[in-house]
Amino acid sequence: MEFPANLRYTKEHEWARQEGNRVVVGITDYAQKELGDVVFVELPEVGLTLAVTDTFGVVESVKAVSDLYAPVSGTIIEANTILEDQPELVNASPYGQGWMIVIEAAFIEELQQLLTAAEYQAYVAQEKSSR
Amino acid sequence: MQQPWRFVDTGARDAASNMALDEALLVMHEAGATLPTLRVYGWCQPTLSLGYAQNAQQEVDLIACHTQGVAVVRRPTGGRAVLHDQEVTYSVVMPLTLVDGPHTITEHYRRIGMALATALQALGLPVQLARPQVRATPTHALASPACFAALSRYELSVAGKKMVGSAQKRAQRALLQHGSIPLWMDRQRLFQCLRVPPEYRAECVQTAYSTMGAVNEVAETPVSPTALHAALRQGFGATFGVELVDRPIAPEEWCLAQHLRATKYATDAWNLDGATAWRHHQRSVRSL
Repeated sequence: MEFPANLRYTKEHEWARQEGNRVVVGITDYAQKELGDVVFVELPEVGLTLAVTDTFGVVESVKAVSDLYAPVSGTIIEANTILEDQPELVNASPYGQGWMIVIEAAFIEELQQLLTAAEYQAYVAQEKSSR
Repeated sequence: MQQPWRFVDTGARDAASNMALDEALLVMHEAGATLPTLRVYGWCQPTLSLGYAQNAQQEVDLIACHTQGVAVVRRPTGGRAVLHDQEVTYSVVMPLTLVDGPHTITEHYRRIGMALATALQALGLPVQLARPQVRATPTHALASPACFAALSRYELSVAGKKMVGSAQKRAQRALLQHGSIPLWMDRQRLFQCLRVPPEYRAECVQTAYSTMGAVNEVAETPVSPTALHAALRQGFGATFGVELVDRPIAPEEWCLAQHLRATKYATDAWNLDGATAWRHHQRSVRSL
């Protein structure tokens, strides 16, 4: 399972990659494994403004429908519409071709609130463990 | 000591109300306003419910539904088409964090599956909880848009026939899982309501007799909805180690459900055009 060190992560299993004032967002390798085969991805329209933790879309897999949460506030400037026809890219390449949206951040410092790769890895381990 | 869960029977309602209530219960529990809830309910009209992403125009014969008096509604959860008629429908709204054990999708299905299995076993059904395994890709003739024809992870079966069709939606802190437990099943009607090539319809129905089950087709003595309600209540209580208390739906929940019914689940935009089209419609309505 991959936890790229250059990304930030949410507890809802989204990843965020900073590119200047823009943030690229997708779901993590753990999330796609957990969900199983992704069959549908619903993404927002370009131009939509969101506050951090607002729902930005939905992913449906063979196991569940899951809401997707914005890791930072801002405006959607790109959506990966290829996923409408090829939702399986989320499974095959969650950090690459399976990217979902790009947000023009309103407050780029919100990224610092997110988990580092090490913190996210520990969080996932806890989620998977029996108590 | 764990908090109790709520048990509530909301009776037989129309399709839009049933789905609106499920979403309202999830939203309110997500907001921390309510106890985890096991709800049982029914349908005042036979209804075909569709999964979140299913294409209604492609997969449903809407004219046949109208002729047969079958309502059509889109669920907030995923999966494939389910025909609701003579059944008990369960829905459970609970936190993502289980008291003990992993907080994974598979574990939630397993736990809820155990609760359902306990309930059905208490009624004398020799039910098995299916373990994860790879399924062969079905041929075109059997590639059914119907949910019950597919046995997926941690589902319940008797003699290989799927007895419960469940689907789950996950939010940030809570999940909704609901499912259909048929007491009797009309397989002919199901495949009349679905867009199946006519030359394959008889084969689909025939196959469905060996893959799709109903409680009163396998029970030694007929099971009533009331008996199944009581068994479900006990099954969930025993599996999750909680007391289930009778509590009504709160006014705020009814209010939210009515709003969701009017703006979403009773609309053709949501049911027939789909979630994405409905959202566009919502945004354009708001900008007026």
